Amino acid sequence: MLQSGCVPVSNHTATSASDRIARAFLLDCAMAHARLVCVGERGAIALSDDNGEHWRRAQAPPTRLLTAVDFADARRGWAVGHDGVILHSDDGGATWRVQYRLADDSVPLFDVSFSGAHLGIAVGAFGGYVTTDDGGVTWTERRIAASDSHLYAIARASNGALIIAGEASTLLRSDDNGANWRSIASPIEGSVFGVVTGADNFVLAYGLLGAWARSHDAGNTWQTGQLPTRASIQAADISDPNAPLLGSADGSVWRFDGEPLARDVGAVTHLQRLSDGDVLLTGISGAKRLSLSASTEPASLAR
Amino acid sequence: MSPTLSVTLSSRIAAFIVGRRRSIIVTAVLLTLGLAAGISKLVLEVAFDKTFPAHHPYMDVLRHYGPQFGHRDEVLVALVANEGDIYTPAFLARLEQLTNDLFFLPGVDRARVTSLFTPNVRFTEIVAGGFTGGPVLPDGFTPIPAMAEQLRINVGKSEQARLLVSTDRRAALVRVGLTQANTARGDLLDYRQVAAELDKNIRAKYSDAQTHVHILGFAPFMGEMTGKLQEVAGFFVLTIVAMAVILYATLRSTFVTLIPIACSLIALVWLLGLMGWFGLSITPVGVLVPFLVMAIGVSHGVQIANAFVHTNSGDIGAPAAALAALSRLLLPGALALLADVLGFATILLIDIPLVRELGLTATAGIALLLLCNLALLPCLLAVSPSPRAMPVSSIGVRAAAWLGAGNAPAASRRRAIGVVGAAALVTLIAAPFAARVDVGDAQRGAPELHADSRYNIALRSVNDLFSASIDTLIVYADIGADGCMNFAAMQTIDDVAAALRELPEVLRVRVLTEVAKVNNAGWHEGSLKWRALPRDSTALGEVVSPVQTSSGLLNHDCSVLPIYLDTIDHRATTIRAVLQGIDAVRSSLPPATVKLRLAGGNLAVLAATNDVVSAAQLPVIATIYAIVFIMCVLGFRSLTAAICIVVPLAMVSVLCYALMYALNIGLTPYTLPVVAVGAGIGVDYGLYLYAQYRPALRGKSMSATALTAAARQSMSAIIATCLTLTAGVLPWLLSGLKYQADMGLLLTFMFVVNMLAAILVMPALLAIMTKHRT
Repeated sequence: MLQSGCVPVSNHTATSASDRIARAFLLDCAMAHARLVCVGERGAIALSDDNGEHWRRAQAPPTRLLTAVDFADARRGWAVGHDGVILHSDDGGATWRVQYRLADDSVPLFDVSFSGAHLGIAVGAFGGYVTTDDGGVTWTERRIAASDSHLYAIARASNGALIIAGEASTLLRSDDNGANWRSIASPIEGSVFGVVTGADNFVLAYGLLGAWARSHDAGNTWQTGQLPTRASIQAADISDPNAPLLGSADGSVWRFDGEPLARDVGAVTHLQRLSDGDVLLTGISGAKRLSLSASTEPASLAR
Repeated sequence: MSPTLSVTLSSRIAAFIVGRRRSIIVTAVLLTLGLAAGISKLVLEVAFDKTFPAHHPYMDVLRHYGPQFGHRDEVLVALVANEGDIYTPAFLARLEQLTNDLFFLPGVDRARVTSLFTPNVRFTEIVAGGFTGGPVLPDGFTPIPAMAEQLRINVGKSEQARLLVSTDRRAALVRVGLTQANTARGDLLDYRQVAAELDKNIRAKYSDAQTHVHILGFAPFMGEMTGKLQEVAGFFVLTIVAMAVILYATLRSTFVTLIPIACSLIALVWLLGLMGWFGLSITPVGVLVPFLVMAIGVSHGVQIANAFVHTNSGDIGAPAAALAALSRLLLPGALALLADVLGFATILLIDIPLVRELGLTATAGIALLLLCNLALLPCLLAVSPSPRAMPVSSIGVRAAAWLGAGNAPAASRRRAIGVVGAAALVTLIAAPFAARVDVGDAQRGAPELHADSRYNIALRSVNDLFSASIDTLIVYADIGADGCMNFAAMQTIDDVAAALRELPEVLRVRVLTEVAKVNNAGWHEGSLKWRALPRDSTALGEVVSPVQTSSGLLNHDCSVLPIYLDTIDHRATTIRAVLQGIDAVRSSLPPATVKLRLAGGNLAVLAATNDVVSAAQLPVIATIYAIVFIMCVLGFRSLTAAICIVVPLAMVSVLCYALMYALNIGLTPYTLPVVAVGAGIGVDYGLYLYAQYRPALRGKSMSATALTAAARQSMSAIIATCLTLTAGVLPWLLSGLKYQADMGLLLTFMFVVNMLAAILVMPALLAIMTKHRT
């Protein structure tokens, strides 16, 4: 949405310096064993060892907006972002260093996915695609599609298939760990902002104007759906296959059937079910815990 | 010149004056008539720029950059529904009418009216491959529920429109830009006229059972200030009546009561007449001068009138009594008025035009009082009908006796030590608190007005309803022409904004780069992963171009980007912390490209004012004490006299600071003069009283009883002086202007406590310091 001059209001009340990091604009989170690691604006990397109650800042070199983070195991993780940067941590997210930078630093990277500690793929704007098979010691840039559409997300289905989602209904699949990619006839008309995978070959893609599509065969066949909003979906969690969650840019959290679970929580960039049953939500004004009660009433923020 | 000579000189001058009483009176009458004509030329001027410290570097920056962003000339009108939310047909019909009414208000820049009902408030919507948009007001809007619902949906899509609707949806905001020139007549905009129009055509019309309004902006602020100033002027008659009552209680003679009042009024007419003829105007602070002139004039006049009444008992005759009174009081009277003049003169050290004008006009007024009180007043007394014999015990004498103070120099040394010890102890206890007085003020809202003033209530309401800000510091980032196409410059500003956002005193940072980042996401179908500054200068142009200069976030050639820091409050400690934070950020900046210039916003004015007050504090206080001390030494030819008079004065200043700390009153351009003026006027009591003890101290034979009687008579006059002074400033406590109420409170304290110190501590000190010599 374009603005003609009104600065977005993000009230943050005075808080302790350690918790301020949790108020930053955060885009993505990953678990390093029991530790939450979230990344976002101005190279912010926020850590929480108590399911998002308290936060601290990780030690990381200065970078610009970080867009995604993934951990191969409890210790080894990668984060990517603008200026084509790839950061690496081998101590569970406590400290980070720059591992690689794209040759063209005007290309932002948008997602990273590791399968084990060696095989990793990062995708980004203008068809940006970069891989490693040695845990990030060397990275190789290449092109996988004819168009230079932005590639927004990458995920691995439970059967091992890799799926990339991108601009203008882009959906790509690779069944050989990324060696070859082919287009999938996309069930979504506009841009696909994200793709997440679950058990039993479950795949969920989502994007522009409240559109989503799910597949139970790792992306061969799709069933589409539409949320009752014109806002785009930019976050999802399917870790509980019985109660998947979708988050939209107009600040709502939804069930598949279009039932709102929470309203006015700010644009949602990431959703993650926590071990205690609550949901961690990130967005423009930071990370929040959300209690989704069993009732049908829209939930309120836990704090 | 020996002491005897100076006494003789006083007598000779007194004889000269009283001898020519008829010509002096005639001259005064003619002068008064001539000058009175000038009063009609006086106008009340609310030139608010004069409250700014003109020479502070912040003000140069403010003057240079401020006009490029139109920060001053905006009026905000919040229409609040008393019941329900704004999306009802009835409310929307009103909001439309309000928008139209404001549109046609004189002085309004019609291109800068922003409301849900103006076409410049637009929404954008992401669609596949791009975005679409339009005015939030549905095409062909009529106030029906379906249209109201469509408007609500459109507002949800527009960040711009959301800022015009309160967070609880009970209120809507209309922003109105004012033209620099009055469109109708082509001359400068009269803020008071705009305020009057707003009151008449907006506030009155939209305040009823269904809605109420809050109006903010410089114009309504000036309107309320002007109204309060006029109320203040209304206290003047009350003040004179109070003074007359006090005088009558002391003098017990109608005629003698009227003379000091008439003389001070004449001095005031001369002052105002001169101001009128010289084309000066009455300012928001200058309105206090007539009160001060009356208070000082009458309170000094009562000294001579009191001496006259005491002397004029029986057959001595009015001219001789007037001569005797003047001979005795010419020196202390002249010294006292001189001290007052110099007290006001020291506040010229405070580099704020309005305060300097106060100092100048008050100085002139007291200089005129010197003429009226020491020349005209004895002449009028000399021609007055003889009053009946002096009453045995006026209230002043009784009060002096009750305080048990009159016999001090002759009293026991033990008692004197006790009094001085107690005073010292109180001062020592107060000192740590006095040291904690800070510059600036802590009140939420405009410091000139009370917290419960209409304007400050509106300010808080709008702040709460719309999450708007009251206290803002603006840093102007100068990045050169087309700087917002330069990634390095934009990134630096974004870094600066982020660093400043980390300051605990900063609630919010508003800057172009924030909007640019949002717009970059907008250009990419709203993907939040794009919410960062693009590196490419063409792309930067694309994300900045939708931002209009009316947003205040950039100027026409994008060479200056203001960074708005909304802070938690405007206490001096907050301002200092924010400025330190900016300094730290600035010193870590790479040189060249970006220059951060301080400062704009209300905090800039307050910060500059605090600086000026801090810088002036020591010089003002040191100067006034040095002047008073030197004057006492020269006037009475005695170091002892100077010490005995100045020490109690200093003690009271410490107590005054402690009181300011206790009442949470900070040092401001209004309270700092009080310390100087309070000392300048406070010394008068000591001067008059010491003049009574002087013959005894010179070793002239004077029985203890005689001395006590003389001292009691003088004290009765001093108490009357104090009451008169207090009557002059006590009505200020009722003022709707907070600075005036604060000044009234502190001056009252200074007048009363200085009086107590003069009649209790000064004689005791004198007793201690002189006893061992005799």
